[in-house]
Amino acid sequence: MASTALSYQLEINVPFESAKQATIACNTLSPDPILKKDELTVDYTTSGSNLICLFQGVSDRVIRVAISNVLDNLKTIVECIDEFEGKEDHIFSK
Amino acid sequence: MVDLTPIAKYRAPDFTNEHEIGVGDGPHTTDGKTTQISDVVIKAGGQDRDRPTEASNSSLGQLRAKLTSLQDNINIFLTERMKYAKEQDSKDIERRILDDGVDEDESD
Repeated sequence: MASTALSYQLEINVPFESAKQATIACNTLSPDPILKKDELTVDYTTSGSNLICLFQGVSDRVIRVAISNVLDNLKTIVECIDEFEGKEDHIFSK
Repeated sequence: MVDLTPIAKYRAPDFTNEHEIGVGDGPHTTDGKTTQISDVVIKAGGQDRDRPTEASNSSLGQLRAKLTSLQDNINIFLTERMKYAKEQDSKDIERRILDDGVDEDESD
């Protein structure tokens, strides 16, 4: 069922508490390189306080792997924001 | 607490309409069904050392749990789609072999 066009698409819309949080998530995910750009593209954008991830691939198999990896990373980002946002800077000494 | 619920939309050439995938009814936890270590390893006494921490009661904690539910639902949906595609491919191969057989008979 695979075709050469990136015709298998999945868009995930993730709401955050603020536009700043959505931008942090977007900027953290964006640098991750895509190895086979002829088979898969992933675009990250923000709309207000929402993060939008668009996966486009040549097959369901290709996008499934990418989506699961990105969601794993996104959960870590959400956990970090939840844990550290609003806390004061702290320098750890030996 | 703000309700933060992620949602996904799927499009494919053989789908006339957009298919929406949600987080489901819950309860939502960070323990994903499709993201655990394999049953074989668990039965052999293995432990998941990368097991995620439990979700906090904050909005972001609940978002993390809902993202796990969404990840499960997407994985299940796309796995079903892959199975369907595989079935269609094997039917195509079967049809081609049978058609080739007919051609050979006709040429004789």
